[in-house]
Amino acid sequence: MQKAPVTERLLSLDRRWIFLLVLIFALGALVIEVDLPIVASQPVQDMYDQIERLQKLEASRASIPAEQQAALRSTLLISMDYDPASKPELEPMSLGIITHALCNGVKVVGMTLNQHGQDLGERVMQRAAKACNADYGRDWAYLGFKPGGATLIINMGQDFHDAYNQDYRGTSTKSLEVTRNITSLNSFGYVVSVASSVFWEQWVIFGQARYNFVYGTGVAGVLAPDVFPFMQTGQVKGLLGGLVGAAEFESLIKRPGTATAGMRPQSAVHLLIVLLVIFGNTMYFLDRRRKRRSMRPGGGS
Amino acid sequence: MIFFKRTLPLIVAFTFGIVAIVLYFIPHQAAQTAFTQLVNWDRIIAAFALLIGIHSLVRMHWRKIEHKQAGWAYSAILIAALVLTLAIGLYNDGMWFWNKRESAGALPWIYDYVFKPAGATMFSVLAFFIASAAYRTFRARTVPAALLLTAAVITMLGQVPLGRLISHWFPDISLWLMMVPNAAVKRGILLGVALGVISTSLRIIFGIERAYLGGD
Repeated sequence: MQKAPVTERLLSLDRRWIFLLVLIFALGALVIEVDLPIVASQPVQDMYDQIERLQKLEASRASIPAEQQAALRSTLLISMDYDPASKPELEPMSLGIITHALCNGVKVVGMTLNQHGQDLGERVMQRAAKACNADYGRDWAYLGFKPGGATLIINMGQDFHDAYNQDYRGTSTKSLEVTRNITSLNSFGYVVSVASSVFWEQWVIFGQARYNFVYGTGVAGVLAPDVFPFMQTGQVKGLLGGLVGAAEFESLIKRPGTATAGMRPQSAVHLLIVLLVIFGNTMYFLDRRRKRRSMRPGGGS
Repeated sequence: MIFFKRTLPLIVAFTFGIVAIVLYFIPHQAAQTAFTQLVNWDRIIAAFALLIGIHSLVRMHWRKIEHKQAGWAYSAILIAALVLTLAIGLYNDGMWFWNKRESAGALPWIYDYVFKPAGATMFSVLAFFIASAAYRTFRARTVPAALLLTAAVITMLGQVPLGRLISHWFPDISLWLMMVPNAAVKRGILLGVALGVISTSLRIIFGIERAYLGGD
């Protein structure tokens, strides 16, 4: 039996060889140390600037009268709307944002719209609080999960304490220093949703558009292109797109973490995919030329 | 019976659909209080939807087991896992479900050592399949396909630091692709989807679309 031409055989390569290549590239990148330039893009810089703005507001707290402090709008609300499947990509974002905020004196309130993300959110907040020596109730609070999604967002915009009358630990939100003066979503200085699904968009449609707060988001890489139209309208101020967005944020706050470490294997696998696409197309065109030649009169078998 | 199965749900959908739309746009305090109440009801209904979801899931998989359909063993594992997790959750590490949730015990263990790794595995396997699919199917057969392929290659390299190491043009062009052609297309899709959502909502409110009432 005649053997198929090389190009044809390569085009129908067993996918397990490609899986093996992915594994080799990913592991190789973990072993071989290469310094990669991580430079923050404008959307990442925008998110950093928003947190810096809150820091300045918080720093001015002591110089303003007590009755005006409630309207300072310097608290950050972060909604960690993801589940364990997207944790490796999104958790570095949450950790970076919360750590940067807490370590710079910005008060942080955490929550989630995803029922699978309740424990993830709490642990990230605890880690960040530990790193910054932040006190629960005074510097930060975690509200946990409540069902509703879009309607919960509307509810929080209408009456914050009606939507969340207790935190995750069962303490009244009216008794916690960090949430005492929050009346609506509009009371927050910056709202961020770190999301692996449509939740980031629900915050825009049902939250930002109606209550007009400053909003930023961190999303899985595959969702990032969806956010750009909202950035141009000014409804989204600050975007961390995928693991690279998290790594860029880590480079800005000078706290390299798992996202920065993940840049080497991710770069290697991206490079492999590009090489595979180029190689696959080269084989395709060579094979097509061979087939055309063989169809010509006297062009061989 | 037809009143409860068809007429009443249609009346409820129409009344609350119209009321919710009207209240949403009236900034008066009384209207906003009523709207908050409606939103609270919606959240309570959303919680009950979880129960309906469980009922529907169990019924579907139970049928598979009953009729020994292909893959029925997976359905059995699913139901066993559901019952086990529910029982452990209700047991609440000896404190039972009417007390505050315990942070220790079997439930966090399941979350940490079963749910989290299983979820992460599902997501990470994607990298392998994307690489394989890119090699097999991404072909520059036509001019539009070649354009798409070029944009994809630039974006893939522009989205990782390696791209910047090769040339700063990769991240710059990648950002331009996102900000200009991508945003323009997405905006068109968004407008289309929004009009579709409005149209479907009106069809439900006015009783033209009745699929949500069920088959029988």
